Amino acid sequence: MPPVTLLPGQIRTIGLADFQKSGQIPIEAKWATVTLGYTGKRADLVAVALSYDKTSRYGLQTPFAEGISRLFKGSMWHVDSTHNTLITTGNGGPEPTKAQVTLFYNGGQSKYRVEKLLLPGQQIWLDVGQLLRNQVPDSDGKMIPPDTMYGSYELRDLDHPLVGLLYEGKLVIDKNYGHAAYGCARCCGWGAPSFDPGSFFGPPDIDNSEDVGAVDGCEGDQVFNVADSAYDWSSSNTAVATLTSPTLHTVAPGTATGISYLKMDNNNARAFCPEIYYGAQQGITVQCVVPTSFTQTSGSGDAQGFLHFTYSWNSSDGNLNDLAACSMREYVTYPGTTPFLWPSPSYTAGYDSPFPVTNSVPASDGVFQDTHSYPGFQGPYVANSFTATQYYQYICPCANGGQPVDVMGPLSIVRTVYFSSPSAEWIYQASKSGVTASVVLP
Amino acid sequence: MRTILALVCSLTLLVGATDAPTCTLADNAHWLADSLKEMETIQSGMTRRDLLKVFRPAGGISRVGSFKGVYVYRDSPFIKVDVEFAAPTGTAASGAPESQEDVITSISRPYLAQAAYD
Repeated sequence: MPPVTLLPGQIRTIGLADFQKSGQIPIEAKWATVTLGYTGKRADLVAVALSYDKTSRYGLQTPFAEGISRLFKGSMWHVDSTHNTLITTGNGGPEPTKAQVTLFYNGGQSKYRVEKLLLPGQQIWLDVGQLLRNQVPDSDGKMIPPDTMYGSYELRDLDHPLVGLLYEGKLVIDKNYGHAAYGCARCCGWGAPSFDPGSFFGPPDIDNSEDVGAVDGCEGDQVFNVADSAYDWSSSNTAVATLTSPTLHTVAPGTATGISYLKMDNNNARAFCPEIYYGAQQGITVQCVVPTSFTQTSGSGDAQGFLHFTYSWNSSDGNLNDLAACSMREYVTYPGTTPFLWPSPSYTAGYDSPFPVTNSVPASDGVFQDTHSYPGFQGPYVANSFTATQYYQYICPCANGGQPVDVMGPLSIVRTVYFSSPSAEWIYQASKSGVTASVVLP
Repeated sequence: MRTILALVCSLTLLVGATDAPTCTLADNAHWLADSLKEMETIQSGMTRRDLLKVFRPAGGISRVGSFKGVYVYRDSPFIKVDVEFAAPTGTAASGAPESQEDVITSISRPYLAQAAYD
């Protein structure tokens, strides 16, 4: 249509029927999406769509929706013998989108859902009275009980959860008094997004899945993770941490700032939920996290001559998961040169122990157990004793150049075979850290 | 008595001692056969207490509450099995301390590996 110039306060009516008569719009067209564009500030133009019967006695009118949104809520539908409601939503964007109209009834406990893929400019029309009278099933196969008379509804853009493409319209027609009321559902946007948590602390060389939370203005201030919709992820110091996606990767001790951007419908309904670009930031501190407070938590000897110990430790930042890159191990040496030959007799011949012995467990466990056993015995028994020396150590790539760090030791593991005169028995005895275990040799 | 004598012969072969009783291949075969029979008496569903009648812990540090471990044959630490346990019925498995009543859920075939003690 040709441009129209309006002076301040001027009203102008554009008859669409004229365009049909002139052939500019097909005469058989029954509906269309009308889009008005104008220069100036928001609300400088107040546009209303009107339609009257031939007598000009009966007419309907509804305002143009200003702006498009991802979600509209808070308007009412009403259907009974003298009322009907028409609800429409359309795709006001440049690409197809899946629209969902949900009618709530039974005090909000029940819902009727219609879902449809809309091409640009395409609409959904719902004649709610017809849906009830004809018991039309919804997208889930459910129907609204025919005696239902009112409820609320929402319009949701399922494909564009942050910046929607839908506009809304509705008419409630009162057949008694011959008037129609149009409703304006409230558009629903988002509060400003932020990283959750706002600050990150962790060790080098781990991956952390980032959350960016935003408050949905129409969902009871519930916070949703919108990280998957954020873009232009970056880190201010890639030598400390990299951030090219919602996964933060820590590199080396230091500090950095993580940044990501989001385009979202703002929750300012008065301004028709405008699109706003947000930048969210997160302080990143990468620190070398190591095991601390290594402690023996139990020690006992059993009737078979085995020594049992448990040890526990903590993490320097209080989070054992941050020790994922570290291991905890024992480092045991025997007298002489490797391998150590267990003296036979009294120990069964042929057993040697290559050393150092370096068994390890993940440091993130926070606890391990240590059992001191023996290879077996062989007579004729001979008294002897030897001592193994044990250290407990951690290895973290970010500490001590990745080399072991002692957390306990040296501990002496003393194994003795002796003859007990009072009982005339040969005894094997093991001891460490004041704990002793004994067994009578067979 | 035959088992003990056979064991001595077998071990003597392992170290190659020359002043020990002479063992024949038949002696070793008997010992291995008897040992294997004894090891195979331990099966899933039995308890840790049953296991320790035939095997003993390989020793060294291990994870707590993992309910799995390496055990060595009582008469030769070169013969090992990998064993997994579950906590007795009615108790929580995760993080629970070991118990003589832990139930064996799986036990591997015996295999040969170097003995290592700490």
